Amino acid sequence: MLTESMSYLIAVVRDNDKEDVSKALLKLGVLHMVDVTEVKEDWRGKLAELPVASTRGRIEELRKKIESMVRAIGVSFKLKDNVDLKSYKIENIEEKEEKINKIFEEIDEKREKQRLIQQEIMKYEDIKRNISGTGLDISSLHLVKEYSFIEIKYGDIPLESYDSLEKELKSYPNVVIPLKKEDNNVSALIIFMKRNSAEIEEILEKSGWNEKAVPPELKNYDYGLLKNIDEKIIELRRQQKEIADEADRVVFDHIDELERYWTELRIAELIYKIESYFKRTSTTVIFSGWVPTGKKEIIEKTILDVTKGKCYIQWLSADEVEKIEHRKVKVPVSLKNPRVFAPFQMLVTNYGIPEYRTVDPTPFVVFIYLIMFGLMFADVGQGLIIAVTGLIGSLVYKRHGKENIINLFKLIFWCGLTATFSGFLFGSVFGLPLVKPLWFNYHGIVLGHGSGNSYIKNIFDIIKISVIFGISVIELGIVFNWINLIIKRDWINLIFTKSGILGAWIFNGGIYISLYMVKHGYKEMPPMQQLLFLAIIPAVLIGFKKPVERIVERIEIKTTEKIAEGKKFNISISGLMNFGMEWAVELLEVFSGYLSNTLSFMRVAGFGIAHVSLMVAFYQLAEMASGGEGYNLFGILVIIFGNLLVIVLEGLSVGIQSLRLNYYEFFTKFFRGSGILYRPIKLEA
Amino acid sequence: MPKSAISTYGFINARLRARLGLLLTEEKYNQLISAPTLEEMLSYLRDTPYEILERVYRDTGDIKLAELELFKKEIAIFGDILKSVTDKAHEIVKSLMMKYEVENLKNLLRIFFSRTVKNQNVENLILYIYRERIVHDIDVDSIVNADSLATVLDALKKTPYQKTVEEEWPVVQEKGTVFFLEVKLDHLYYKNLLNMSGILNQRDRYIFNRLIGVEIDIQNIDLITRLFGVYGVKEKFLREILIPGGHRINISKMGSISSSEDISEILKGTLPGSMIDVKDFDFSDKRDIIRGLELIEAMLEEMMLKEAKKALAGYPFSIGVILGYYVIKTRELRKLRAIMNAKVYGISPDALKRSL
Repeated sequence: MLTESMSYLIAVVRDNDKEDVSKALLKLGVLHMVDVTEVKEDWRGKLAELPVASTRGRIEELRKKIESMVRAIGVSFKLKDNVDLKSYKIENIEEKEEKINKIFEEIDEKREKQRLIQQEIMKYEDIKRNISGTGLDISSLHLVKEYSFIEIKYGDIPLESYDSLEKELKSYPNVVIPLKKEDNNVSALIIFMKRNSAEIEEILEKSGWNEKAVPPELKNYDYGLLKNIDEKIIELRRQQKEIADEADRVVFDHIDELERYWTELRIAELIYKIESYFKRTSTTVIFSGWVPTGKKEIIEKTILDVTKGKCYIQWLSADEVEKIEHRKVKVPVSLKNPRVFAPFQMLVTNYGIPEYRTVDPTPFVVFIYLIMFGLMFADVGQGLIIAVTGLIGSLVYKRHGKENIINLFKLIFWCGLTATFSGFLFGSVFGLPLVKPLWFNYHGIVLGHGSGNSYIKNIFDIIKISVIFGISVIELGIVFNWINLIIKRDWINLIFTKSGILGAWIFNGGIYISLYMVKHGYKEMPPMQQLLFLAIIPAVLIGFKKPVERIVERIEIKTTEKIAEGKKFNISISGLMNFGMEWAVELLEVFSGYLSNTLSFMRVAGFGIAHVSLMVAFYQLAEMASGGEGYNLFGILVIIFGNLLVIVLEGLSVGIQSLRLNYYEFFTKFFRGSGILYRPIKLEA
Repeated sequence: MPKSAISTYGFINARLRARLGLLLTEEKYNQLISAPTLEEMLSYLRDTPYEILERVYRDTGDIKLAELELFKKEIAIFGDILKSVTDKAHEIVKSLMMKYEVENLKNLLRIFFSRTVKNQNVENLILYIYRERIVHDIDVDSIVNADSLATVLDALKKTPYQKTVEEEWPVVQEKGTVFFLEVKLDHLYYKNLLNMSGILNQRDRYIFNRLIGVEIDIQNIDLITRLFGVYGVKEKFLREILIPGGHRINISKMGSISSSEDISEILKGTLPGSMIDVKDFDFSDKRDIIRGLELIEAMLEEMMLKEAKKALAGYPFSIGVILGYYVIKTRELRKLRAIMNAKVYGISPDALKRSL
């Protein structure tokens, strides 16, 4: 229930063993490394940094380059657990750099080719747009010449100059259509932009162009101009695509080599990372870090084995470290939950990392979240669809390795299963009461037909269930808060705060008073002595938080002799006014806070009722669309649409509401999210 | 009957707030900045609203085309907002969108100028022109193909830009640069924008003038920096080119700049002392002056973002939501463009981070 117990390791090994120790630590992957001088501040001047390897920056850069290369083709590498680290050594960085740069150059060449083709395509598109815009008709060349940005020429060119002409014209948007070959000449039509007339005429002249009038037999010729340009564009796009594929192939062809390089580089980086925490004396290196207490033995054994016993190991408990550093050092937090709880742990860590040795609410969130979801969204059919979606999503994303998205889909899967289970409890399948409810008939209650359960008869009973559930959640939060404060020996907050003993006293007193009033038809309050005990005494006592704090502070100061520095405590009028104000605000916060926290859970009933009502409305719409009894195709479509809409929109809003209730009504009672996560340096990192 | 603020801004407020969630995160920027290559940088845009940039680059190898795509996207974003608003908000968004039209027109005029006055080959520039309508009907093809100013003016006849281009063209020919015409177009844009504040109610007008005022300040500082770096400071026309309507910077002081000493006075006097410690600068050194101007620009940018966030956090049914989103989104797009260009030119992540 609490976050895992951690132990602090300080180890001294011989300088000669540092590389083997780094490798062993990496392989083991359990040490959350910390700079030893953070805990032992007095060692700061005595220990030197380990010199930074000159290749470190190059290794990182090279690794990133490889990642960028493979990422572009949708591949990512991962370190494998079975990597042999003992014989590992990074070699030939220059060679690797050369190889990678060569691959990059190859890709760049391909991209440049693609770019040039793209420019050709765009030039054709420019011509095409202008031709289409003016409605070009070859048979009326003169008109075109007069009114558009296009110019057309017809003439002969020596056969041997044809290719060079085409090449020369590439700088400008143009289309050359060869029409007939005679002797050693090609008769061709050239279409280009008027703005380039001067440059193109110069090129034509150089190529031996002999301009002619369009012969009459050509005037009715079907030039299929736009088609011709389209074909050229299609061909160019094909070439471009081919080159793009070639660029990808360049990477694919080297993928094994790249993976090998990447693995070597990544391991080197991780070893450097471990060594960056090492401090040294003349012959030894010192390092430190946090380990879950359960893994103390294995790490100690590993270091002893690697160094053949020539090392010094010291263990400190988290309490001891906190005492040394007066709580300045944060102990990393390891949340130890079954893998199946991972999606719910994600919800917890999204809110914050709990402080060390406080309650990890993950296992409770599993139940609270799912119960809320089930109460708000209960349907066998819709639940199964959600569950299948979650399952498929998590399987699809498993390949891409995106942890958070996989967890999100797993959460959807769990929500779907819960909705299915609740559907059986309330007898609902795709919004219809098709199965016999195991608990009560939600539809029956909402529609006023009776629930089939003698205890739950109407909507108010459903609201009652959700409020009772809410009170239980709040009480649990209060208990967790007490546990956290007892562990931290924070007695004042344990007694005097909203989620402390007095706050809980008022909350439970309030519940009793409410129940009493309900029982007496809202006409009678509990007797005065009960009111005094249930609400007035704790409300008065809660105001004493400040004075008690001042007294404790005074005792502490006396013991640390600060009073000698001239700091004295005086009771002033403004101080008394502050005390009064704080008291009033605190009371307001306790009373209004608990009232709103409790009523907030009414939304659980509200969403459940809305779910049934929405489905009923869709079925009525379907009936109306079908024009009477039974459903025609249109009616069925309305039902399908209604179900989908409810699954997507309501599923989403119910998921968010469950999260909201967890975060704001449950977590706020006890959760202090200022912890730091335990992150050991390991091969998977 | 005039529409209520809720009916004018209610829908767009909800839409823009939802879109704020799609802005690139700081973590994403760090990824983009530290990417060693353009390809990797673009690959980090997958699963963001900008994933099309990667697709365009991988399909064509043409980063300019990807940039054009980004420009199109920017216009589409605000075009979409334009469609979602009515009444005063519609007019304001339309006026804001004129910025893109002005930028595009500047591009077209540069092409026309290079082709007809400088006789340069501009074919590769023409390929990357945005040709769709933004706010007014501009015959883009006529301008890029024009042989005379008359054709250009004819292409602009349905726009407010025709008069400015006609009046300023002699200056363009005299000075051999379109810079001053571009500045006048900016003046026109901001004048039109500031005039629009008249249609807003008092609260909206206050937000509007503040945000647009800071943007004008930034433009003015940018103009001085550019002029100072390229032309030197002894330009008489400085007074003419600065845009009126700034929020923090006193234009009359800036307009009187005639030497580097004056610029140092501006640096000392324009902004409150707490914002800049003039003792850190050696005003006889041109680089220090430029550094000072850049610093002011960076501070104004910071101020602009703060104002935008304030506008977004304030009363939801006001022009503040649209303007706040406009400021934040345009900065995001500008940053993205800068990162893309830095990768093309091989600027190191550290240098890039500093310049951003």
